[in-house]
Amino acid sequence: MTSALRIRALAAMAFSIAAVLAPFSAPAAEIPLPDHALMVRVSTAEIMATYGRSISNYEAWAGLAIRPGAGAVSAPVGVSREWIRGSRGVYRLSARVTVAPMLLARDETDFALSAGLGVDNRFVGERLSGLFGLEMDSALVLTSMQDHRNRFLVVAGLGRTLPWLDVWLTGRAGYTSGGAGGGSLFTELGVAVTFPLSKD
Amino acid sequence: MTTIGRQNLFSVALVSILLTSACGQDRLVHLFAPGSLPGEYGVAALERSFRVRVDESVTAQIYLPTDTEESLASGPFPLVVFVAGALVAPEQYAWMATHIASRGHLVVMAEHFADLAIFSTGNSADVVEAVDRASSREGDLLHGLVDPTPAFAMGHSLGGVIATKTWLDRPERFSHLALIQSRPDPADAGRLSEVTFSAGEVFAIAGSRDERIPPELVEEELALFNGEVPLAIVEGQNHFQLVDGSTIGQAAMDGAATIEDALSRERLLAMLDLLLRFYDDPEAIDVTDHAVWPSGIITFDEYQEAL
Repeated sequence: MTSALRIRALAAMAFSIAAVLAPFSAPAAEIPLPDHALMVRVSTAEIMATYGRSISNYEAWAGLAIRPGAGAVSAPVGVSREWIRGSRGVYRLSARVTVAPMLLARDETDFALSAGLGVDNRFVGERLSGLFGLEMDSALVLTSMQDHRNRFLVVAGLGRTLPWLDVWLTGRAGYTSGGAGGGSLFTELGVAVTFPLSKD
Repeated sequence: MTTIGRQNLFSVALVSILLTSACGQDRLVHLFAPGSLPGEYGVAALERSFRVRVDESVTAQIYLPTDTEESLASGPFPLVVFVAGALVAPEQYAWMATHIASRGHLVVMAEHFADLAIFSTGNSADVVEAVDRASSREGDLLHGLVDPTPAFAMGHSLGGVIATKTWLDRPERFSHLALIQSRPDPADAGRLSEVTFSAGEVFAIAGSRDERIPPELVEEELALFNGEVPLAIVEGQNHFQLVDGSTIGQAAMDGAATIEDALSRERLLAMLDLLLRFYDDPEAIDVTDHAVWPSGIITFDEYQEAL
């Protein structure tokens, strides 16, 4: 790994971590998010469960994710902010920052840290909702400081909101660069179910 | 947090780690006993997923020399990385990989997204790095089997394009390159013009009946290299004779071969044997000398004269 690449990966991670730690003030909510929510997501790449807590238009969450292919267990934590347009909240623009320490158990035991930024716009319809977004994510193996990756993804999804749960079918596609060579195309298809635990 | 809470958390973490670790089981299969192939070794195949690019994984097939029907031979063995052509699975080249392994080389073939190496140009380099780490790790099945000296990159068709990129990306890990019915990517022209190599370290093989990547095209594109690249042409060979189980659709894009598959492959393997001998010991043979090429292998000039 060249110094330039290492600096770029570290800079991307530092920026993401700073964004998470930066103080923010919560304005009054137009449409409140559920106070507490449990989300379970199963995809072709990982299984993830998170618990989220919302205040006004901000949400913070923490959870556990397993990537069986890579033998990775991670504990993602994140913060998101939502902006709502339309009198009935038809469009929801959301930006989020995630940091995930990882334990890598495949082949050898390593520790890694990933940090990501994501933006998506949701159209909330009466029967179906749609989502389109962009994500970038960087990760670095801390124990060797050699292996790293940067991932740029396009996210699209279809959702259905029911009184007691939210179901989203999402696809993510993009490119992972880094490692020892030129990287690879990345695709993932997943289903996420969110259970609101309480509502204002 | 209560004691029960801590125990639950510990159990979840433990089960998660066990689940993820269990997915990394090696699957080793002994394919040929020693003496059943032209080389001095038997061959075993290993299918294994390696962790690459921090938290992604790539499955690779590895062909290893064996010295009995049940045990791997003692290494280290020089590494040969083979990249499969477009829409061809690595196992469709098992006939070539087993031959090379029987000659005492460890052959690695990484899988790619949709069997298109162009979508995963880094897979081979990443898998090689993971294999190198496995070779230096006590207790790993691959421990001590990989020779750390610069390796040999090979590829067929699109695989040759990607093998060239791997060879360019990792100059400290790869010294030799063989383009089999392939050519370099013109987009790499800048890098190719800067890299120097010794005579014979880069070699191209084409098929006289190949209409996918005809010898004329290969000859033209070899000019991108910063040095003389010998081009050997297998008489009568077409493109998809090198692929097990090729389809009628693939054959429709190709020229008609004038020799049987068995002879076509025999000629190619004889040429590869020469290249491997040169790779193992550069003093042993001069592969740029046409006189040492096996029968059925001709130069580009001879090919043009025969047209």
